[in-house]
Amino acid sequence: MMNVEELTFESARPARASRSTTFLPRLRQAGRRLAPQTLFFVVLIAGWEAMAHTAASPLVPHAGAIARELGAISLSGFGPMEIAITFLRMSLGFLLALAIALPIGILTAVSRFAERFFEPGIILGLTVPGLVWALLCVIWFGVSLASPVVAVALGVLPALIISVNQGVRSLAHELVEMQRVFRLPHHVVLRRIWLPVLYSFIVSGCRVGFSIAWKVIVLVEIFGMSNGVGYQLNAQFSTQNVEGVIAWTLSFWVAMLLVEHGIFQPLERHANRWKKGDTP
Amino acid sequence: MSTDIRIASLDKQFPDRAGGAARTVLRSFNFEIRAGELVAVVGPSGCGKSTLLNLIAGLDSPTQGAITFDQPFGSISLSVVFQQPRLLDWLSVRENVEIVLSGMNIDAPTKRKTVKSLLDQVELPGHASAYPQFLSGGQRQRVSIARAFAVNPDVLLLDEPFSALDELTARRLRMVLQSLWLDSARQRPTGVLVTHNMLEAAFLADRIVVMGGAPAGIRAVIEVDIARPRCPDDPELFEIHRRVMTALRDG
Repeated sequence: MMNVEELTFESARPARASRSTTFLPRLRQAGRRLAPQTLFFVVLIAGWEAMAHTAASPLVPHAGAIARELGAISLSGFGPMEIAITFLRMSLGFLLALAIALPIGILTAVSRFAERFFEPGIILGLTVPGLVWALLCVIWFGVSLASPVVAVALGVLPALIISVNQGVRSLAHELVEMQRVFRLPHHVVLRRIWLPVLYSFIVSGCRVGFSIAWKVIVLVEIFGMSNGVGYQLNAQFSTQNVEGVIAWTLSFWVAMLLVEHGIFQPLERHANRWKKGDTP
Repeated sequence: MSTDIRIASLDKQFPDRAGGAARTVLRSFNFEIRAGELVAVVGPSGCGKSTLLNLIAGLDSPTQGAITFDQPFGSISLSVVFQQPRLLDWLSVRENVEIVLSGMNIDAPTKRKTVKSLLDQVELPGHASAYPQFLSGGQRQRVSIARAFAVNPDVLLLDEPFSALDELTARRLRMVLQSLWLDSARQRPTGVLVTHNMLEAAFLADRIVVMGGAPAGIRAVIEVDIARPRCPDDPELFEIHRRVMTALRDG
């Protein structure tokens, strides 16, 4: 049974405290939040240094040498440019996959026939390694932009279709009845009900999709591109520059962390803004 | 325009999922609801009250027989207040009410005015921008009532709308519903209220249909001849309550 209704209608949002009274607690909160990540970096660097010291081999360079390489890549502006090229290719492939995954994901959730029809294709997509898509796309499309875009799209598609499908299935039967009773037009149902429901599923699907996309794009760039992070990794490998291989990998890791904190987490907060427990 | 609802020779069977014989919930059910009246349907659990409501709402199809209106079903403006508010949690209170107007040919300022006026009437004027999860159960049901009246319905179906609320909140919401029902600014819809609460039926309805038996049939139809607006403590309501209970017991 629901609680007795409040007799006074208070604002649903808490009053905002003044800036001076919230600054220090916020700083402390941020420190607490960042402590585990900082600890991870300290443990990682210390472990790596111990390994480099023990191995005493140019194949396991010291953290300082990797940091110098990373600095050189980043400060010259060359690294960010190459990362941007890789991100552009990934994003285009990703958007293509999303455009295909939305209708197929919705169809497979609402139609038993469509579900059975697409099932073998989805399993095929999940089974085929990114390496195969990369090779095939380089063979088919050569060094054009289509190669990485199509390879990424094919690699990411199954995971996105499954996310969209689960999103639509999560829509309660009760809400479907409500939209039927009030005879909501199809475009309103799509825009105001399905897309918001799918939004949070797509955001989490994008996270998984982006990590898959990276594994595909790096291969396409190794095999068929003359720039991008994958190409640079291959170039460093060819010159046996271990610091270079690690530094390029780390640079992309940093870029992915920025995407996670700058795009995915804000998107997720926005997607969940109406949830009581998730409001900051 | 509110409409008569004619239920003629209605049969409803549900197939047995285990492969056994189909279960007949309603058989040869006949009843007529007059335009603009509110009929309450009471009866024991599982007697087919909600099935009847779903059939009228077009959410289910009869096995035999028909439910007809003065106009074709597709041209009737229909609203339901469900037992649970069934709001879209990601839309604000205002948007939850406004969304049902999206299929209608109404300009944006009129929509805003309609929504604002209804939120005032259900006593939620300061909550237009709030999300449903931040409201109490009673407040969410107020939004659901505002949404139901927003389309100026020809037919209003109420499926145990207050049964999930505590009695104090339910009583206040019945008053809100009564005042919306009596508001001369909009047409009075033809209403069907399914409820377990006999006093609620007596307070809101013009007639009470007492259902019973399996398959369900009509045990009694009780006229509620009490002037509106009604007071929830009116002794006459208790007399109606007693008559409904007698009909249920005898049925």
